[in-house]
Amino acid sequence: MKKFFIFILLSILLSLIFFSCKDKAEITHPKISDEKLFIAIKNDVDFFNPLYSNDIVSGLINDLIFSSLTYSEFNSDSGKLIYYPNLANRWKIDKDKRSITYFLKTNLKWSDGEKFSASDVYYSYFLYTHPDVMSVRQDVERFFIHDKNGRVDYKKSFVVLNDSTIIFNFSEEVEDPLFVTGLPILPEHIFRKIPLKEIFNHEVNFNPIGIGPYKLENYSRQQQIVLIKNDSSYFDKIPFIKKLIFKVISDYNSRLNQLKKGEIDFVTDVNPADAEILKRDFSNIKVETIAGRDYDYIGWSNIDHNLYRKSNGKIIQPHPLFGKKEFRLAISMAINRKEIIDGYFGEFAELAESPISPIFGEFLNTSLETLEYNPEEAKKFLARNGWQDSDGDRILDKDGKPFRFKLTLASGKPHREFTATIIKKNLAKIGIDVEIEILETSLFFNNLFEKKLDAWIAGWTVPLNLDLEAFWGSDLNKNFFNVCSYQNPEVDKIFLKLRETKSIEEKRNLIHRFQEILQKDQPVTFLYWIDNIIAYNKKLKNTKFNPIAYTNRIWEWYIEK
Amino acid sequence: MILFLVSVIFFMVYLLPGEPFQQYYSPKLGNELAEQIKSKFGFDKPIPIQFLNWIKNVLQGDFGYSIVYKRPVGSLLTDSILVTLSISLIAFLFQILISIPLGLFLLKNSGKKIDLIIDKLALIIYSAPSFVVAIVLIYFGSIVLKIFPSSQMTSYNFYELSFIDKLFDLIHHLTLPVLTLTITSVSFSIRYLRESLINVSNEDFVIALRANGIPENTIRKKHILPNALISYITILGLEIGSLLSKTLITETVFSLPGMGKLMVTSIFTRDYPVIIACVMISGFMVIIGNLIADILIARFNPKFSYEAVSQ
Repeated sequence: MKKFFIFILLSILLSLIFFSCKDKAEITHPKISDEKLFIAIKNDVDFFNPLYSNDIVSGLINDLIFSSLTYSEFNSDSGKLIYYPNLANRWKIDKDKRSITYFLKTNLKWSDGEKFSASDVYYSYFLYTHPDVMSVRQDVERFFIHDKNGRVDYKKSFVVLNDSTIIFNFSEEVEDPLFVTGLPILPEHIFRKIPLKEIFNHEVNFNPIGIGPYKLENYSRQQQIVLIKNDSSYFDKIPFIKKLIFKVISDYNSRLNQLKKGEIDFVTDVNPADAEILKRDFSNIKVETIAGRDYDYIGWSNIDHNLYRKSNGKIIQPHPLFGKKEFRLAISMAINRKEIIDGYFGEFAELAESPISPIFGEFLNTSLETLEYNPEEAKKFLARNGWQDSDGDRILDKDGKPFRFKLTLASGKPHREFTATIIKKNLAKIGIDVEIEILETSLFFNNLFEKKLDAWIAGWTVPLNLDLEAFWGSDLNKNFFNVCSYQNPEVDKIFLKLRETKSIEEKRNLIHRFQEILQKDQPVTFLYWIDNIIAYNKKLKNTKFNPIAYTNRIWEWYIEK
Repeated sequence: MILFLVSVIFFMVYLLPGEPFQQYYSPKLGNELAEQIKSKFGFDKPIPIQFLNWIKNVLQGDFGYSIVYKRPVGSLLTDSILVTLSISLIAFLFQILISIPLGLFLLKNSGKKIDLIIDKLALIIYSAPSFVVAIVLIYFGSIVLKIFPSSQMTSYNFYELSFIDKLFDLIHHLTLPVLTLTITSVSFSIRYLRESLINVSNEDFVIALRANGIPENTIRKKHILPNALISYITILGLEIGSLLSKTLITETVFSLPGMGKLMVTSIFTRDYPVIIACVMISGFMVIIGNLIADILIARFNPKFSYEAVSQ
């Protein structure tokens, strides 16, 4: 009997050892070398603080140092974000989607050793939403409960039940509560000591204390950012790669040369032509693409911007050339977008028909017909509207005025310069004279936002939550990014319904309808969706890139010996 | 002089279209946040008031806050100027050490094949933009020979190295940038020095010295060189003033965080406080460069000495 008990005890002990080792065995890959990875970045980090970081590179690096309650991945089949536990173990969304309760992990520590708790979450959202902090993410405050002075009511909006439980209460139903509460969490014990108005230019912005898979080991301005894995924070996301070295190399050719030489392991935003060369001639380099949500377009002034500016926004009249939708459609038909893709991007771009990228799955209206290149039809339309070449100079004219306009673009974007050249050539064929104007980037955007341009080439990134009102809503004062001044009451109604609807199916139908209207109205000519081309050394394994960020699941990457 | 320069630049910079706050435009907030930040740093005030505030702060040693780098301008300048001065002064020194012996060598071999080859080579290098020299050096030094790194100022683990290792690491990284600057500077100055040496060697006093049987080597070193150096020193003085602009391309190609790169970035991003501070430093360098050149000229040429002028 005694032997039997000893046998049972030993069996339990052995099975315990076996199962406790199993998790470890899963994360310890036999070929892994606990090495460093060199990643080239084109610009330095603006802030090591998600309150203010405002560009893609900074966002990626901050996401490795700081973590959110959940981490998300974009599912291109459904066009939706999928959420996984991160700082929170689990969550419970209220039936009417007016509140969400998070149950936090209890064993986490900040990189300085302090314990993580719900009060960190509370204080983070206090900082994001407080006007004195001037966070670039302060717009999140609109979802929460406000007091009679119009300020966020912190006590009602963020309720800390205990060290590991926090409730977020919203002012009304929120379509995706996990998205709204998905901002990176900051350490209360650090930020509590700093007066709110001083955070913006405080040293803390360059000495981050985080709770992400990595922590900052060294920062040398305009040179490099060295991140080292943060063993102290996570127990389920300890990265394989010990150090990530982000080298700031502003010159594109230098980045590419260093990748070829092996000084750099990972480069993004590779030009299509170089991608082909890398694929063909460098057997140690792998080229992959991430289907994007960035598109380029030709913007047309839908209204007379001169008059609009001079009257301080009081007089809104159609633009003399691009004010009519039929007119814009005719010009769009005269532009051979396929020629642009074939000539510059090859397999790394696809035609855009609306501002919904193919990665948004069911939200993309696939029934939209491709706007085919048809210069003859365009020419006929213009002739019907009185545009003819009466003086034989090969340029159409009407009432003695030639059909001539300036197409403006920002410098430093070779693909847009190529696009402009093709557009000029295409439109010359139907008798439209285009003058290409390349402006220095800052000046270009200044003129764009001040509505000083008639026609331009630019690009936008589509927000993951498909909140597009800022780009297409008719209220030109409110919707600052509606730079082409598009106005359509039906589109406004769609945005209103999108805010109210609870049904995914209805949302999908509304977004489909929105795309139909936009294709008919052609407020801009949608050109192409651009893939992000990534090239990296083949020694890097287990990479799974997601449209949300190429560093998504970086803790699973490893370097083969 | 500096005050005048800075005042002009201040108003010119503010008249430029475009602004540094575009980075804070966002679909949801529009330009609201940009306006908040403008107000925080006093950029919403009338330009003359901003100017007076700026002067007041500069007199107290405060150059303001960089809108783009999010750092006090003073600390940005300190970091950057150290990088620029370290590469440009070393290159400047090498330029002197190479140009003078090379000039004498060319004088000795004046009219020979080697003289013509070096002269034409200097002309070609001088005519080519400095980034071409940098790319050629990267190609040979970094890609073919694989000896030197093609960018950055230090290794990724610089902060972990000992003092001696740090020094070697810096030398390793800065060799190509310094070589780029040295080669372009020598190609420029050697043509002046050669021309000057040849002109002086044809002057009457040199012919007289030769007629008296003084050895050619002594004539070259003791009589021709000191006289020819006067125009060379003038050029060196001007070069000190242009150190900042000369390093600009080199810093960009080699990804070095120096003044040149800082200045260009701040111009493109309209980082007003940084632009103005950089112009001020640049102005100082021009004045100091000219002053050093004047002192050296007076030292080498008695005709320009204080005593000679006062007589």
